[in-house]
Amino acid sequence: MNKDFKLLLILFTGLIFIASCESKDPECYQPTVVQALCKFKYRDTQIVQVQVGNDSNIVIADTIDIFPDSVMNSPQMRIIGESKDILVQSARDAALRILFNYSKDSIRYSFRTDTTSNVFDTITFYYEPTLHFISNNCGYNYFYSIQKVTHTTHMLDSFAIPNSNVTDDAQIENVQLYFKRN
Amino acid sequence: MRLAVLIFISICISCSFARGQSPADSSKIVPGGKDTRNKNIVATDTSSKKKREPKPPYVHQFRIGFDLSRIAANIMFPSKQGYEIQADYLLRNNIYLAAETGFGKGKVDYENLKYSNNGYYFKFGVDKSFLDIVSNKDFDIGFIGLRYGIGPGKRTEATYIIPSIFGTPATGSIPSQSYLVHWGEITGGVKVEMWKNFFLGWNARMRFLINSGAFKELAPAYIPGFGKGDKSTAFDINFYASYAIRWGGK
Repeated sequence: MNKDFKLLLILFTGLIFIASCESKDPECYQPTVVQALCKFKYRDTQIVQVQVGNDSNIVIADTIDIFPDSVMNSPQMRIIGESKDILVQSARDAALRILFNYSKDSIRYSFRTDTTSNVFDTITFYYEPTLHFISNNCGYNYFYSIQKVTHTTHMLDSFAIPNSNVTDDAQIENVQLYFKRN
Repeated sequence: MRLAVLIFISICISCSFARGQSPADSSKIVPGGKDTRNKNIVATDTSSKKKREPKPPYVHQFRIGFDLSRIAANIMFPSKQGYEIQADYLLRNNIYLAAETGFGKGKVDYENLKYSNNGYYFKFGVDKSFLDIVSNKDFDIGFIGLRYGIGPGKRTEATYIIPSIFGTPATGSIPSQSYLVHWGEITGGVKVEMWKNFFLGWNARMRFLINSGAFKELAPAYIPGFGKGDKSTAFDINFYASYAIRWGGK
């Protein structure tokens, strides 16, 4: 291997070395704040056609309960009993994302369907916090496991917990709250 | 992606230049890449019985080197410190037994997480040169190789802070942990003899963590010899200066 090639190789090596320099460690791009997704629904009935028997051609009309999302103009939830006044609200939405306090095992919110409404319900969430490691750049945060939900019944009828694990997955519905049927 | 292209181009240039070399003497390598440094070319009379060629003398080469890129990396990235030495021994047919060892330490010093770790490592494997040898004094190589790496280490107690919009942030600590990691490596590179017995060269490495479940919770940001502890694969480049000791072959 002649000297010219060796020099070229060393120069090329230098370029590779420069190109291989690591960039600065990235900042934290993962969500560190964990929120529970509350979906509001109402009960309705739907008429469906039901076939009687497996081979029969007889079809009858029947009703089933369905639970569509209840889109509200400007739903709002406000924390009760904390040192900070935290307001959660949205526009034309059927869901609200709420925060939990890691230092307590429950948190209360007052809820109304519209900022112009004077009718409130109080919703209490009981949960268990769990320490969770995000990454070396982001550190730690808390995940939560919802144990129970209680609420007043001025507007709300009942609740369900489809997924009790509150994690950094923002798409998972944690709590469903059903309005009373008018 | 850009780095992978640069490495590929470098290897291609190395191969094309090596193949384009016209030999200076009559001891030209036999096509196929076999190492004929140790063989004497003998004209054979095909009409007579084939005589068994005498066994060629074997040139022993032991090469030891130091990773110069670590020095630059230690200056550029104070949170990752390490040093590495490398050695290889030439077998027949352009195969090298190779080993690397080193030690290092890492440190995470962020607002929400603080800890440090240190460790050492050993890597063993083989390299195979794919460059044709143009003369019996040509020890330049372009090679690919495999490694097995093992690295014990220890992480100190980690302290964390979790901010809270409700007021007082949460604080706590994670106990210290000793660990042992294993990994496999695919490597490739070039080593050229710049001056008599003195080599310069570089390696590109792709590493695969074998026991990725070793860290149930807090994986160190930097594992000496491997790279980021929270990743199961790692890529690295080393730049070596080496010295070869040769004997035999006369």
